[in-house]
Amino acid sequence: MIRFENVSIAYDRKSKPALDDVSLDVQRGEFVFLVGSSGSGKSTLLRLVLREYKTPHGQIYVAGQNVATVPSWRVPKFRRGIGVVFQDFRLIQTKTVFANVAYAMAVLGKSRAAIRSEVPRVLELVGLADKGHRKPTELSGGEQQRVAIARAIVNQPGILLADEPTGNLDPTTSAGIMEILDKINQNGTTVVMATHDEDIVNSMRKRVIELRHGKVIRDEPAAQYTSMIPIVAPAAGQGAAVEPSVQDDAEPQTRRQRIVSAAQASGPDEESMPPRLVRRRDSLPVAAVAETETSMIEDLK
Amino acid sequence: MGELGSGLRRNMTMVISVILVTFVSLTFVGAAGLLQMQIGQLKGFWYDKVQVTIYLCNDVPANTNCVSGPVTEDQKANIEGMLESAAVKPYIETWSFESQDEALAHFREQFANSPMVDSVEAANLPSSFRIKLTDPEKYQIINETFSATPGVDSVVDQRKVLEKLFSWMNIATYVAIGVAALMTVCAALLISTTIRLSAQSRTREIEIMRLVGASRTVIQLPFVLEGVIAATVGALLASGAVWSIVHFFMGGYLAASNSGTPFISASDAFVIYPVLILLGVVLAGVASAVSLRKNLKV
Repeated sequence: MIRFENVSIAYDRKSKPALDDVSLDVQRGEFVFLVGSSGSGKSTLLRLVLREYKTPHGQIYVAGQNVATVPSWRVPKFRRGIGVVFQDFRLIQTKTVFANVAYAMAVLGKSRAAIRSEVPRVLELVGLADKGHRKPTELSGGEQQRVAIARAIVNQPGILLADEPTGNLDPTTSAGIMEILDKINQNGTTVVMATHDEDIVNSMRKRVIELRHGKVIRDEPAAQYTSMIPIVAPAAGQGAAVEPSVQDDAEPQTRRQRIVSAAQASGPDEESMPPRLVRRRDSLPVAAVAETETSMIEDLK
Repeated sequence: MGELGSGLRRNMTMVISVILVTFVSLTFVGAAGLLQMQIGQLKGFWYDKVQVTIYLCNDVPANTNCVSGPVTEDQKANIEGMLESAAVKPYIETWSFESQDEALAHFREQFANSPMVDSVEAANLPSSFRIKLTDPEKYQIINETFSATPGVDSVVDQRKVLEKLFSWMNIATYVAIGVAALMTVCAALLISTTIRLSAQSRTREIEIMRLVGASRTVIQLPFVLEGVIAATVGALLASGAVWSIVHFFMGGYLAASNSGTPFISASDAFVIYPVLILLGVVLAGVASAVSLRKNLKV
């Protein structure tokens, strides 16, 4: 669905490149976390997918199209296949929730009937069915982000990009947002999410791509936020990690600079959760967290 | 459409200033057009009628040629003979004689509203030969032949008189066009500023439209229309102003005091209005296209 081939980009000639020889491949229907410190190139990567910039070096393919060959007048149509969610929600404050979501359809010239049937459906999906008439200012942060997600998916894009969607939210609300993103992912949408939130990454156990100084330093399926985990023999690890998300092509795997972790090898096993996760979530009933996590992991299977 | 309405309301003051500036600039364009049409009308009228007038002496001597008193019948016959002579005839298309009584009648007609009419008698006015030349440029030949002839007061090239008037009208046209050009530049700059402002007040909407993949037309059209509508309103006002110049000033005031002179009618001026509106739309379109290119990346 998204493929980067040796992509490099620098914002100006003197500074270090924002992305340096990045190659990766995201399959259709995958859920990918993009992690790394600020300035590591996560947002640049997402912008390149959106064709906000063109790459001087390397090729980017999105949904089978070479992004560089999309002529500028076709860019709007190209972007219709991609939904985007941001940390700061970016809702129109003067419009109601319903109007905010409907706006994304209306500007594409969708019919009023289609808007009337589709908008309530996505609001229902994000759990805001009864808040359509509210203004964004009357909603909590989590609810606002749900509206933003509803707006991003209302035109049914094949790809959903999320740039730190939980960055402004507390852990409980974040968990709700992740639930929605996971649901969207299970409906077949490819989700790429840039994040700093290690609890989320650790609990979701999805593929993780880590960037540092514009380079991919880690690309692991069903991984955790950090890779400070006991190392097992590479062959064993790779053999064991058999799940849909690992079916990506060999290229990124060979580029892995770290060996697949033991946690990953053992797969969906609660024992492998680092104790730290439970400690940081102790505001929540531990059992409940564990339960949702188990169910999430089981979904993967 | 809703976007457009709210955009117009949000930038009310800017929109009004765009309307006024285009109104003024297009009124000047229209006035220049009127002047040129009027010149054409006058040219056609006068050049057709008469080109050279030979004024004959009357009882008020104004010239050394006339010291012997008013023109006699012999002198008149002599001039007529010269007009028909081989030396001059090829240059003359037609000629006619205007007696003092006829001159008085014309005078009365031309200055019907003036109190002067009552004090003028036929004897005060010179009789004259009115000559139409085959080639208007050959005035000098007539002048040389007749200016020293006894009984001739003066030879006047009417074109010279008119040309002076026309050159004044041409200067006025250039001034009007100059002012119009300046105001048009103002209008263009104002339109692009207005568009920049309204684009800034709608950055969030524009960003969302870009991200969900709205087409360039959907994003940019409201801005272009904003400018075009304002400019069109200005052009309509300017057309109204031009119409009232033609109807009230030229048709009402000037025509009443200059009954002999043909003025362009309100229906002649109809060609000007579409031109003004077209100019307004093109101006706004170009200004907004340039401004959008600079301020609104898609």
